[in-house]
Amino acid sequence: MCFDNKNSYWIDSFIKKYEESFKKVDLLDRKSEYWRFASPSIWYDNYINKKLPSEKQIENFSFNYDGMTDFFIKFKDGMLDISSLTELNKDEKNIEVSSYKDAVTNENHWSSKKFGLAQTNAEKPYKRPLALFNGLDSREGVFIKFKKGMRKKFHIIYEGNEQKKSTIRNLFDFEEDVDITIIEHFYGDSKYNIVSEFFNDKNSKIEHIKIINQDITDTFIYHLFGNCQKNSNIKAINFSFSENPVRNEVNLHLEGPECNATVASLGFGQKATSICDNTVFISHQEESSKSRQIIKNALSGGAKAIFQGKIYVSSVAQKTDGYQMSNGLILTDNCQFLVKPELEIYADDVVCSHGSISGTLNDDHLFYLQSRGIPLLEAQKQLIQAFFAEILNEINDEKVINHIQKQISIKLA
Amino acid sequence: MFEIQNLHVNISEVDKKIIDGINLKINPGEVHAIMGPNGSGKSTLSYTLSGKDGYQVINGDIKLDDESILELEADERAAKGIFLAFQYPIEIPGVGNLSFMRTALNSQRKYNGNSELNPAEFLKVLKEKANNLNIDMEMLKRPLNVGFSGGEKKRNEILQMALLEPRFCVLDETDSGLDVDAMKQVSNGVNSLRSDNRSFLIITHYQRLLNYIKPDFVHIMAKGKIIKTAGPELAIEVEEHGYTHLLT
Ligand SMILES: Nc1ncnc2c1ncn2[C@@H]1O[C@H](COP(=O)(O)OP(=O)(O)OP(=O)(O)O)[C@@H](O)[C@H]1O
Ligand SMILES: [Mg+2]
Repeated sequence: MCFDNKNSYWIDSFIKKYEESFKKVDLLDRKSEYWRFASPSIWYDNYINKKLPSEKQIENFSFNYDGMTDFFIKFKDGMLDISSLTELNKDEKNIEVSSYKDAVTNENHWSSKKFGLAQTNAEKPYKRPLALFNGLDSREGVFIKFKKGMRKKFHIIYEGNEQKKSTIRNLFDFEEDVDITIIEHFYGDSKYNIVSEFFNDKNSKIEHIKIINQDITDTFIYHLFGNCQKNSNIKAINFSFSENPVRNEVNLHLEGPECNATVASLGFGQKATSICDNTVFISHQEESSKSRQIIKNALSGGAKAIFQGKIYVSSVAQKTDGYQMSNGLILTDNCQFLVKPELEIYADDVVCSHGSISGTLNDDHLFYLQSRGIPLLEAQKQLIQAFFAEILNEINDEKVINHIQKQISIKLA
Repeated sequence: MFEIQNLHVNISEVDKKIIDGINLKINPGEVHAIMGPNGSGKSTLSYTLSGKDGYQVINGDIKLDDESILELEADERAAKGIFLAFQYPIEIPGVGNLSFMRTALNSQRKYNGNSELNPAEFLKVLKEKANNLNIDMEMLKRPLNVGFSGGEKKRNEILQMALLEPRFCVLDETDSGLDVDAMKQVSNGVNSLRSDNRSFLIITHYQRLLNYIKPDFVHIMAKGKIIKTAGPELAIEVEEHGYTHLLT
């Protein structure tokens, strides 16, 4: 397989490589720990073959961007809307932006030196077949280089109308000292397999917020592969309101010392079709980095959540500070929160802790609220919101918070 | 009028009878104090009145204006004007004090057919009440009781009482853990709420509180029963001689 049948491009060697690796991995090896809680067929078969029954949503989940953002990039049914890049291109002193197509067909494009590196780092110990499949299948995406010192906040919108398979490949190159917030919104009738590679240079500060709306009608797969250099700071926060399978894989390679990484996820599922799977791997390769994983899932109606989280500390990564906490709020008793925390530590001077707590709403808390006149249902809502507060506190954009609160309220209505 | 008639209560968790036949009539405007040894069932009584799950009334009745409230949920009892200041106010992380209080007030207003207050109207009311109790508004921006000192939690209970303007107030050892100044502020807060149509049931171990809030009646509770009722002088007697001579 190659990019097209007419010419040859630098991307072709990658596409071939992904194709070969994909053939080799036994995707359906259920014995693999990697698929411990959710069979690969949930993701792969759903993505390739099936169409999940699409339920049209009555609520309007679109986002009001008024005064919210410098600019946004738009994908519609998996296709990049090229015109949405023009606004970005005006700022060419600070930004270089290309579509996937333009980047991979340009022999001298800057991305050819970075492409695939972060994914390769993430292939040990698991090949991550869904990402390999993305590598051979994707023909759309956006590649952006943020030049030294620039600050920016922007949105990427993924709108779906046709329940089409959308395989998308993004690449973000963050140079030294940048301060960038990327907010990705997914809504409508579509299914996704997305890989985003992040290259975070020294002293960069990156916030990545991903919001998967309730009206996503099909399977959603996202891999974030990040390479982080000295003193860089990354926060990757996932919000999932989907009632369909969501697999959120975050893989951060802290290659330089003194990095700071946070991976957080809020999931709220209310149907038996809902699976919110966070598979997180943070690898400490150098000294004095900090990482935190905070996962919260509220579950009702037979919904399921999965957290496989690993902290890896190499033998030279002394003074590592790793933290991992997952909480399940089980609202009806047919729900499951399946957790596999893992520590793999080869250095001796490290602090790593992990914990996992699942339970129902606290009766004393409910009674306190009710004793002040708040009806049971409203009291339950307040406590569910409270359960999520820790994740919402990670972001400080009021409008984004409001949008998320609105989705939580719709679910609670 | 608030009336407890021949009340018997089991704690379902342990299937144990804790309240063993209590009768109490509290007229509008009256202040009643309950004293009694640890474990005699005072807090159990207060939870039962406010409708906590697990406190099973096996006999008797609780009436507000001649109507039984036993079938009402805790939030409905609150909306009808029953308020409990908890002995141990709990912390609820993630629930903001301000939004909690506004939701509480508006829920009650809605229940009683009154219009809800918007955030600005609410803040105005709250500020004034917080000011009277010497409560810092900044503190109220924190989650409910989280990181509050013992005394601050107790004052926050009284603030909620002042805000919700209940008709029947149960104060469960609100004075425990308060410093002298806070005790005065809380007492002033309570006294300023005293009126002809509001009554109080004050649970305490110390006569000192009753110097500030003058009760009309003092009851002694032991082993789930009221064993003696008299005027304020009974509290002084307890302070001086303890309970032993009353129990025998
Ligand atoms: N949930 C419960 N499970 C088992 N026993 C309980 C429970 N709640 C209360 N009790 C018991 O009921 C009795 C009365 O308790 P209660 O808290 O009402 O006492 P109190 O008079 O308020 O005491 P204090 O002065 O110490 O506050 C005690 O023996 C206590 O151990
Ligand atoms: Mg007590």
